[in-house]
Amino acid sequence: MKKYLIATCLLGLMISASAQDRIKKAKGIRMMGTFSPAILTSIGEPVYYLTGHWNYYFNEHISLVGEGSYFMSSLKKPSEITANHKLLGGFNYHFKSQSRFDPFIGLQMGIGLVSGQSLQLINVKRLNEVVPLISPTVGMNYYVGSIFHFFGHVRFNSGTSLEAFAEKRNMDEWQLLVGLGLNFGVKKG
Amino acid sequence: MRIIVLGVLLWIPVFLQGQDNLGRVSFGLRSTISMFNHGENTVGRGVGGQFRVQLLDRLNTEWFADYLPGTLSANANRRDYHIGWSVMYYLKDHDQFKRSFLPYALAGHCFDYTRINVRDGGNFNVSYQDPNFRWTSAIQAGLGSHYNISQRLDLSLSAQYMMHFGKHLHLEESGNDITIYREDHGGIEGHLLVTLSMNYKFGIR
Repeated sequence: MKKYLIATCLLGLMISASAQDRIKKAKGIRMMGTFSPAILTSIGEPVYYLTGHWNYYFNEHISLVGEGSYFMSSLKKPSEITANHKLLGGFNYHFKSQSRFDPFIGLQMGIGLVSGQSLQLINVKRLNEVVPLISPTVGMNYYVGSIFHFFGHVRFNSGTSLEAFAEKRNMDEWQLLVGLGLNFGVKKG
Repeated sequence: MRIIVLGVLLWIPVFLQGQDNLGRVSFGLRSTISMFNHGENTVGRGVGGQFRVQLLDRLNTEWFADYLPGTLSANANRRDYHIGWSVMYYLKDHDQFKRSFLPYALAGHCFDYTRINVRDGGNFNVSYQDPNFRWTSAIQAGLGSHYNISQRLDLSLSAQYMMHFGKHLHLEESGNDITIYREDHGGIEGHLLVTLSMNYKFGIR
C-alpha cells in the first residue's frame, strides 16, 4: 500500500511539473551521488559502487560528463575482486531541447583501478592495475524543477584486466544508476 | 636563408586570411585498439585523450596521448605509451561540420615508451639481458571519418598503421625460462591502431 502511495505521489508530481514551463539546461550543471549495482558479465558476479556523477550542458543537446565510482563490495562471497574503482569522462547527446524529459545517449572513456586476490594461493601478491575502459551509456533524466531531477542510466563498462588476477580477465559489466540528483543553473523557461 | 624563412612567415597571415575555421579547437577522449602488434598475434585496448587545432578549412591537426596495455603471452604483458600528433586532411568540404560523415586522411609522428612485465605468481626464471623498457620514435598514417552528431560534437573513427623506428624489445620463453632482450640493430616494427574518439569543438560560429 505504501509503495502505491509513493508511486502515485511521484506520478502526480511529474504530471504537475509537466504542465509547467519548460526547462532550460544550457550552461547548467546536474550532479548526483548514488549507490549503483552492476553485474560482471563474464563471471555473473554482482557488485555495487558508490558513484558520483556530473554533467555540464554546453547547450541543450551536448553535455560534458565526469564520473567516479568507488567499488564497495562484491555480493558474491568469497570474491577474487578486491577493488574495481572507475574514473570516466566523455560526452552525452541529449535528444530534446528545453524539455523536462531528457533522454540521451553518451560515450565515456576512462580508467578502472583493479586489484584482485587469489582464493587458492595465500602468498601471491597481486598488482593494482590501471585498466582502460570504454562505456557507452543510455538514459533519461526528468527535471522536476530547477533544483532537482530524477535519473535512470544504464551503461556498459568494457575493460580487460591483465595482471590483477591469476589469469587475464574480462571485466565487462552492466551498471545501473538510478536516483535523485541536484541541478545548478537550470532555469524554468 | 633567413630572408626565405621571413618571407614564408610574412605570407602565412595572408594565406590564412579568409579561413573561417582558423584556430578552431576541439578536445576529446579516445579509445584505441592495437592489432597485429609487431608480428605478435596480440590485441591491446587503450585509453587516451586528444585535442585538435584546425589550421585551414581542409587541414586539421590532432595531438594525442594514449596508454595501451596488451598481452604478450600467458606469462607476460606489454604496455605502450604514445604521445604524438597527426595532420588530418579533409577529403570533402566540411560545410561547417553540418555534413554527417566527413572522411579524412591523416599522417603524423609519435614517441613511444614500451615496457614488458612478467606476471607475478608464476614459477619462472626471468633473465633481463637488457632493461625491460625502451623509447622509440614512430610515424603513422591512415584514414578516418568524423560522424558529426552536431556541429560541435563528433564521433571519429580512424585506422592508422604505426611504424616504430628503434631497437625492438623481445620476450623469449623456453619452458620456465623467460628472457627479455633488446635487438642489437635498429629496425622497423609496426602495428595497426583503430581509434574511436568523441570530440567537442569550440569556436563554431
